[in-house]
Amino acid sequence: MQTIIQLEHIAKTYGSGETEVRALADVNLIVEPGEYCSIMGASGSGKSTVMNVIGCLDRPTSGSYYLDGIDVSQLPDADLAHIRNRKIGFVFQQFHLLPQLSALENVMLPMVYAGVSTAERKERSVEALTRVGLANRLNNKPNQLSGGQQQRVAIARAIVNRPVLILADEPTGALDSQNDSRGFEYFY
Amino acid sequence: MDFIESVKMAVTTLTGNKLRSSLTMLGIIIGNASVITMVGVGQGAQQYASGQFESLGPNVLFVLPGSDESRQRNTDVPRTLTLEDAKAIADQVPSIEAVAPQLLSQRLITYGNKRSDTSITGSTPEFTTVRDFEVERGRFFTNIEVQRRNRVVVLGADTARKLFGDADPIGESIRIRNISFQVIGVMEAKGAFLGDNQDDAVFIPITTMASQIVGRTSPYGLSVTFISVTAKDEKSISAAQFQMTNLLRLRHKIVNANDFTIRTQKDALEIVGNVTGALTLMLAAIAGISLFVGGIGIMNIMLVSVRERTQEIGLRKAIGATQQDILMQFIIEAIILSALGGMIGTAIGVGGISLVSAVTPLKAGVSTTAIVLAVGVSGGIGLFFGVFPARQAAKLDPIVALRSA
Ligand SMILES: Nc1ncnc2c1ncn2[C@@H]1O[C@H](COP(=O)(O)OP(=O)(O)OP(=O)(O)O)[C@@H](O)[C@H]1O
Ligand SMILES: [Mg+2]
Repeated sequence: MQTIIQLEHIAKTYGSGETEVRALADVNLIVEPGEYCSIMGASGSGKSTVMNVIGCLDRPTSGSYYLDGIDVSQLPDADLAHIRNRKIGFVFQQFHLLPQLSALENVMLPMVYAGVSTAERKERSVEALTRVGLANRLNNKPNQLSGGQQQRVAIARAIVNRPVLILADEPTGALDSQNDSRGFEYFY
Repeated sequence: MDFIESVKMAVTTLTGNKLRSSLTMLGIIIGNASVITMVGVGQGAQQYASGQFESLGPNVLFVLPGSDESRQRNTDVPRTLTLEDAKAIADQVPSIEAVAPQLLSQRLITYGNKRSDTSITGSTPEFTTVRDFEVERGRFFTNIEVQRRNRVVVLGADTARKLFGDADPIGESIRIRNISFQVIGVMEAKGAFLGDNQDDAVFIPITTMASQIVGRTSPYGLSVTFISVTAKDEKSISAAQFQMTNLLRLRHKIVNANDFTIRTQKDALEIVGNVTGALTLMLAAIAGISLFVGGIGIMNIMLVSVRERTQEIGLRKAIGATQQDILMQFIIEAIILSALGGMIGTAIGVGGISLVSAVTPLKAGVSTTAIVLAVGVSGGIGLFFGVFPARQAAKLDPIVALRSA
C-alpha cells in the first residue's frame, strides 16, 4: 500500500546569519492511508511549519517530500496548485476565511478552482456545512459568526473537495469542550 | 477555472467592497470627464470662431488703411484709403465680384423720446452682397441715393426693435446727430460677430455719412474705414489680393512699404485658429493634469488594495488557485473598473459638453480622440497598478502571502 506522506530529512530555516531560526531539523515522517496522526509540541516548536510543508504551502529548505508517491519538492507552481486543490484539505490556525464572502461562498471556493459545476458546488457546500452544524448560517459573512463557527466553516471548506489528506492546525483551539470531541468527527 | 467563473468572481469581489471599487472608479471618472469636456469646449471655441469668420461673407477680403506696423504702434488710424480707391478696385481688378467701402462711426440715434447709441455704417448698395446681409422689410439704398447723398437709413433688426418696438418703422423719420433720416428698410437679424452685436446698427449711404455725419476727408479724397471685397470664387482670392496690391501701390505711388493691408478670410481664420488652438491646448493640458492626478489616485488605491489583498491571494493559492487564476481575476477586476469608470466619466463629459452647448454659443463637440485617450490612459494605469503588484503577490508561496499584513 502506498504511503500518503513520506518526509525525509526535512529542514526549514528562516532568515540567515544573526537572525537565523532553525524551525525544523531532520524531520522524518511516514503516514499511511486511513491513518490518523497528530503532531504535538510546545508553542513555537515547529508544528505549524511542518504542517505547511506537508500542505505544500511552504517549501522546505532541504530534504525530500513524497505526497501520494509524487516528489512534490520538484514540482512547478501550477502542479502544486492542482495538488493543493485536489489532494489536500487544510484548516488554518487562523481560519483565513475571505471576509467579503458568505459561509456558503467560502466553502464553494475550492470547487470553483476545481471546475465543479455551479449546481454541484452549491449542493456539496450545503452538505458540508450541514455536517459541521451550520445549515442555518449559510449566508452569514465570517464577521457575523462566532470563532468556533468560523472554524467549522474552515473545516467544511477543507473537506468539501474530498481530499486524500486533511491537515488541521490546532483544529479544536476555538471550539468549546462539547464541540471539541465532535471536531474530529467532522473529518470522517 | 474558466473565464465566466473569473468574471463572476471579480464581480463578487468588486460588489463586496463597494467603497474601494467606487474610490478607484472616481479617479477614472474625474480624469475622463475632464479630458472629454475640456477638449470638447476647446474644439467648440475653435469651431465657433471659424464659423464667425465664415459668416463675414463668402470669399471676402478686407483692405485696411495703414500697414500692420502702423496699426500696432496704435497711433491714429491713417486715412490712406479712399472712396476713389474702392471705385478703382471695382473698375480695374478682374478677379473680384463686388466692392463695398465702409465708413464707421458710433452715434446717438433718436426717434421721438427713444434713443440708442448705435454703430453707423456708411456704405454702398454692394454692401449686402459682399457682407452677406439680407433686407427683411423695405429695401436697401440705391446707387442714385449714394450719388445724391440722400438722407435715407436702413435699420438693423435690434435697433429697429429698440426704437419702434412692434410698429412698422418704414417711412418714419429718425434723427442721427440731430439730422433727420427717412427709414427705408429693416435688415434681417445677422447675429453677433465675436461678441459684437451686428444687429444694433444702421446703414446709410457712404457719401451722406462722410459729408453730414463724420466729415472725414483726406488729401486724396473721401477716406474710408476699410473696404470689403468679394473675390469671384475661392480660387480667385489670392489673385484678387495680388491685383489689388499692385493697383493700390500704383495709385498711392508707393516705392517701399505699403500704406494699406489686405486681409483675407483665410488670414483671419489662421489667426483665430492659432489663438483657439492654443486655448484648446491649454484646456487639454489642464485636463491632462487632472487625468494624471486621477491616475495617481487609481494607482494609490490599486497598490493599497493589492497589498491588503495579499492574504486573500495566499488563501486562494492555498486552496488551489494557480498564478494564472489569480492574475486573471485581477485583470478582469481592473478591466471592469476601468470600463465602468470610463463609461461613467464619458457620460459625465458628454453631459458637461451638452451643458456648455446649451448655455454658451460654443457648440462644443464630443471628440473621439479625447475619449479614446482618456479611457486608454486611465484604464492603462488601472490595469498596470492593479495587475502588476497582484502578479508579484501571486508568485509568492501561499504561506508567505498568508502571513503578510
Ligand atoms: N516567517 C518566519 N520567520 C522567522 N521565524 C519564523 C517564521 N515562521 C515561524 N518562525 C519561527 O519558527 C518556529 C516554529 O514556528 P511554528 O509556527 O511552526 O510554531 P508552532 O509549533 O506552530 O507554535 P504554536 O503552537 O504557537 O502555533 C518559531 O520559533 C517561530 O518563531
Ligand atoms: Mg502553530
